[in-house]
Amino acid sequence: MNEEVTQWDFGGFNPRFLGVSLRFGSPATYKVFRQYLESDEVSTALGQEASRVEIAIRSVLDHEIRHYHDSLISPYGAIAFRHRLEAMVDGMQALNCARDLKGTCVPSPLLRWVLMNEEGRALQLREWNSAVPCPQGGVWVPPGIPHRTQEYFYDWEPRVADTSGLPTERQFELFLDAAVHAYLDLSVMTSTKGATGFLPCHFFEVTALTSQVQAILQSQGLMPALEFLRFLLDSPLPYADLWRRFLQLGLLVEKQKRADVDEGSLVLAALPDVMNLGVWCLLGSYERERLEASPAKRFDRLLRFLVEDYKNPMNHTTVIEDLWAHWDQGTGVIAWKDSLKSLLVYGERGLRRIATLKREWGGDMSVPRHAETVLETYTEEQRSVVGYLLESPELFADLNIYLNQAQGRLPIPLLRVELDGFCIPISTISGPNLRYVTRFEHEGETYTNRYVIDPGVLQRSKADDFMDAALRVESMAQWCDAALANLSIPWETQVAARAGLEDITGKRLLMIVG
Amino acid sequence: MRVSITGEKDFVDSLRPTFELIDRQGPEPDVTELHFGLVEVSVIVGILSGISKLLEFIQAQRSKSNSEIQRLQVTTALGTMLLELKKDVSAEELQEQLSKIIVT
Repeated sequence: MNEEVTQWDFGGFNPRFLGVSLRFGSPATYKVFRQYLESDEVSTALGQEASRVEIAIRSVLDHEIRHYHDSLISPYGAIAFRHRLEAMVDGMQALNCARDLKGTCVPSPLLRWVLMNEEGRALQLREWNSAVPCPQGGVWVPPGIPHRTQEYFYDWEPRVADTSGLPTERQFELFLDAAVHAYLDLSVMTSTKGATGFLPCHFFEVTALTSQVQAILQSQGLMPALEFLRFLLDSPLPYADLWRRFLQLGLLVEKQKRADVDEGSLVLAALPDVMNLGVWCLLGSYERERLEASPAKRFDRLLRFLVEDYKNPMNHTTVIEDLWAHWDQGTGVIAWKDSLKSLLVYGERGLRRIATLKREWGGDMSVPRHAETVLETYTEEQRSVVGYLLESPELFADLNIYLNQAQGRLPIPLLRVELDGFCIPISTISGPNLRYVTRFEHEGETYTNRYVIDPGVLQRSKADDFMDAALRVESMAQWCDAALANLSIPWETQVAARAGLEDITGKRLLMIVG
Repeated sequence: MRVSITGEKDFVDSLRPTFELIDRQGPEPDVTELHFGLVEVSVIVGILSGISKLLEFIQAQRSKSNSEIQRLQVTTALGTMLLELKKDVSAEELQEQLSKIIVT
């Protein structure tokens, strides 16, 4: 295995899919993962230099599962997920209406077309007409879509309405407005940076990376953990940079407790501090504090506060509940417990809303049904996880407790494996509630390069329905992302998404480039 | 034709001469879904001088690169495609792949 071209990142978490994804770029890396997964033994490589790839692969699950749990406890994760679901539900309705509208093409992303003025649209149409011949020999004609400004969407209020009596053009307009609104809200939320210039998503890496270090230490040994720490300390990548800033803040606090120990020796000891800081940053109440609840903004506040207050013994307490309450008070934000209680109310409200939507629905019932199934499972797991966090924050912030005692109680996400550039015989795969996302036949044998298992199948009341719904919702969300937003979708699904969209709308999808 | 090309920074930078007009060039902020790994990723957007010049430059740059697989994401009015370039990729192979999103 060539160490020069290896990478640490073998996983991914995207709220489009309610589970975690693991990606392997070669049969060799996949083999290491399978061996790790199938081995009952704890493999500690203390005293030996394990390959960087092996260290990363053997700990990627801990990293990704942490993302899943953090997405459940953080208002940011909940709102991002809800915006995605709303964009998908409204987007699919708009796309279904598009078939009955006049025109030969659908501009993509529609979000940009909606915000484009007449002059911009005319220029874009000229470009399409010169670059792509229209099959009927005429010119490309998009459906009539009113131009909107960003300000129009600032005042736009989401609502559930019966649209069945309205003309298709009006229905399309309403659904498109709703989907664009959800995408714009998502975009503002995900791009709001703090003074340090980091995006909210980078803060989720801090807790996942710290959990990963501890998992490596426990299951692989000290040397691999130090090797991983070396990567974090040296890497120019943004998330490693942010992790180092948390470490600096953690060391500032930790040094007050152990004044006689040098900084190098304190790095491992400061991991619990990094975790306390990291989890606290994720708990801002978007409902009550709006963008000030962003993990990036909370980090700014905490940094300013602790630089002044780090000597205060209240920052050195091991009782996490008291520590977080002290930081809430010192930074002037909503108390973390109130934020979580309001998150539970938000979850219940979402369920009521989708139930109403389902009753009012006029088209293909599979869309609201799958959305409801996914939201029900999400809310159920959120309720359980937030309940634990309110009762005992140590379960999430104390890495020893999180990795050794909490995992049996916390929900385990769906696990998808993606093989990049190769496939394997399905006869070699096993796992709970196994589903193949792709299948290829070759010389009498069936192969796949994407499959999903549900390690939490026993925890879920409707495991089969949930698996179906999660995969279907992801696929519809990808179609909507491709047609409506500027969000990238995995390249291997782009061709199918385009074909599906052209089939639904009965029109050619033309991209606005740049 | 306006195209957007995303890929490893040095590779993308080397394609500048194939553009008649450049609208935008710089780091690509969100590459989490693009399968480029952890390399520094850049994007260039503009009007292409011609497909044959692009093919020639991609091939020339590819032969200089040491990576086993080089990836480029190309977007045109007709869609997005991820090109997986082997070291010995031929102009014909490239043209065949790009023909799905570039009308020649």
